[in-house]
Amino acid sequence: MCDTIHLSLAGWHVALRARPPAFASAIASRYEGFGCAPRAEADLAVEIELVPVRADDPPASILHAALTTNGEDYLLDGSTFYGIIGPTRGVATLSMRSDEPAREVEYFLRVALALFALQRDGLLLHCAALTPTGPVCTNDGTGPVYLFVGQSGSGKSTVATLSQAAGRATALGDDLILLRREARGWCAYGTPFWNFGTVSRTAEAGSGVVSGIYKLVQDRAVFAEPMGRVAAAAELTANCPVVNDQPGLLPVLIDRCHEVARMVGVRRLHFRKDDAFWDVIAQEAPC
Amino acid sequence: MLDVIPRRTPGIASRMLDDEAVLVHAEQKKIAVLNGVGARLWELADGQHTIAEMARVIAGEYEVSPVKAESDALAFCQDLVGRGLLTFDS
Repeated sequence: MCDTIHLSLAGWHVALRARPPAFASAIASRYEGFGCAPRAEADLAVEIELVPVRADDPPASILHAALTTNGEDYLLDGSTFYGIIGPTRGVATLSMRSDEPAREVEYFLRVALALFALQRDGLLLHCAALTPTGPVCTNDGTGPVYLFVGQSGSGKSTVATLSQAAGRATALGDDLILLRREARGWCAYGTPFWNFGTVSRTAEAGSGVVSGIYKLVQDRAVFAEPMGRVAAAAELTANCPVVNDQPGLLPVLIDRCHEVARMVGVRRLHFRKDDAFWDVIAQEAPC
Repeated sequence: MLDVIPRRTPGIASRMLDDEAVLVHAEQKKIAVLNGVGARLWELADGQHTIAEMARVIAGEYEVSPVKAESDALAFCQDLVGRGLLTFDS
């Protein structure tokens, strides 16, 4: 028996077929906020098979596996798992034995989406994404989204938590956000991948036009300053997991990040542990 | 030291953008940005030119004295060797 879960991630239709049914049910529950109606043709077809763990299984986790290439495909190969991701073909398959299948499936989906998004003129970016509730607007009337980038510990979750607590913004996510190039500009989409317990969020995926990107700098003063486009492209590249580990993808990735930096702009945001940085952002984007 | 030949470390992806260069060492998770002169020196660090030859090119293309170009090129190459982005051929 098989069960297929249909997800919409950044507008891409992901058909996730999982076995056995109990496992499929758990996955459906985990990602229900991103569910959508079935469609004949999926952009990304994922098949995951969970096989019972053996007593003699060595300790192995897909989380620590090296991603290797085989032609246009990518492999995750270990003693208890075997995964193939074909971003060009829009397919990904994983067979695994695991005591923590939900965690490993999530990791596999992150890897598959990062590769797939880059293939389809998008990016999976490690950042917090917030839509302000205050007097900040965009030209086309859609909700603006501001991205906050920085390495782990830079304050992405702090910024998201502070903003929500003060009622200044709602969060699309504070970990991994999908970006797509669209006619209205670069758009950000929430994903099921966020830091549990740090950010409250609605069940549905949020989205909006990216109106600004800020590189977080912890400081006692609150201000924003320009960042060169090339340095910004490098910063964004550093925050695109999975694909920035693949030498063959780096030229495309760097160019894509440069385009985002050119079209949206990246600034350094010096901030302290309160919501005053929103005043700086509001001054920079008056309605 | 000026007769040493610098060579780009294998596995580093580089991209010229707006006359600057982004270098990514995926294995070591290092990213560097080079300004215009640095990007030109990176181009010249192809395993074919000595530091002295690289400096002569820089002195010819930029408003800098040959002596200053040599000291800057040497410092640049030593810095990138320290960061694992260049190696010196003997």
